[in-house]
Amino acid sequence: MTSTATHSPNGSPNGSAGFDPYTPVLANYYTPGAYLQSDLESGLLESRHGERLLAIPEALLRGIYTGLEYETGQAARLVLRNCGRMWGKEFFRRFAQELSDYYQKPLAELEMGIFLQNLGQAWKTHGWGLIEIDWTYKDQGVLVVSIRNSPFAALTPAHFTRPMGFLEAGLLGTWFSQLTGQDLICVQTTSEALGAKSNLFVLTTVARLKEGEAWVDSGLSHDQVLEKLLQPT
Amino acid sequence: MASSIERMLIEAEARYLKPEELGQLKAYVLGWPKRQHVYRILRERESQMVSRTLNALKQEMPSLSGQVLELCQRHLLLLLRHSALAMLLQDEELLRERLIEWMEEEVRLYGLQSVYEIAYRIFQQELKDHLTAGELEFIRPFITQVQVALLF
Repeated sequence: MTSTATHSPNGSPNGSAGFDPYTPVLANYYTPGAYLQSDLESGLLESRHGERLLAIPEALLRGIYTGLEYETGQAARLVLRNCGRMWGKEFFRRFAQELSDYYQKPLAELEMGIFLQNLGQAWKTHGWGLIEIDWTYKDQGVLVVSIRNSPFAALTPAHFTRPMGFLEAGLLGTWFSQLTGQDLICVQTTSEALGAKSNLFVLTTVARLKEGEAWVDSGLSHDQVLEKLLQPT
Repeated sequence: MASSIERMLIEAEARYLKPEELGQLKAYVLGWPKRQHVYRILRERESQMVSRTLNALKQEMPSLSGQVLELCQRHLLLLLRHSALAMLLQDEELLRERLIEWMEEEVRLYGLQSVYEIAYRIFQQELKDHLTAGELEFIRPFITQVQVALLF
């Protein structure tokens, strides 16, 4: 599937002058057929970059949710968020490495369009749903991330009456912190598990969002949380 | 290999292929030399067809920025390469998985639809100029599949 054999490390892979038919035009690194590889002999799943991948059965995820709640009660949120943070840190490292190797330039120099496209594809190929980033409030220092078809929301135990995507919130918070070099925190404001069209996450600096979870606890909607964040202090 | 044939072979696990299945496999193999012929032509003419399309596009839309033209060039190359492979392997799903989803997003992000309406018209003409009617029939359905997905 991969055509890396003809990849010239020194040439310009997108070659603006002349089109060598054997020089690849770089596009979708996370094409599922190319990205997910399985080695029958070793019985392992790997990324095309050679990193181990794990397929998680729904029952395990469901078990983690219920087990954590049973063992730690309210603290389950914190545990999930911290797991998400570690996961986010590792995933960002992998993402940055994979893309900078593939495009032969540091992540910071990638065109925004290509970067965003790859992010969306990476999410999809890993089976985490359809992610979209809304930059409308970026000048006010607030990002809104939407994820549809999230498996993490789909498997949330039914008795919760507030968004429970702490794993994803931790992941997104760390991921965007690493990307922007700022200490960001992420709060989920709507959940598919509660009938919303998508899972919405709000990201901004820790100081501005420190009461975010309390706002959601008190029943504030996504728009109300945004309004609180955007009003001048 | 073509995803439909791959699926057929999985279904035929531990049994003989039925006559119609064998017929499908045979048609795939017998069609190979012709498809390979068209594939080679596309590979040889790619540079010319894409350059000419870009030049004509520049003439019709002189205000296009360098960034858009570069994107357009990259998309035309991707279009031709993926379509050629999809044609060679008779794999109708390959385009959706590897190309269409990707391009759809970029076309939307950069607002390229009106540019591509013109670019595709020029490019289809280029294909006509470089291929015989018989050869064109091999590749056109795949190019059109992408065009329809992106523009309608």
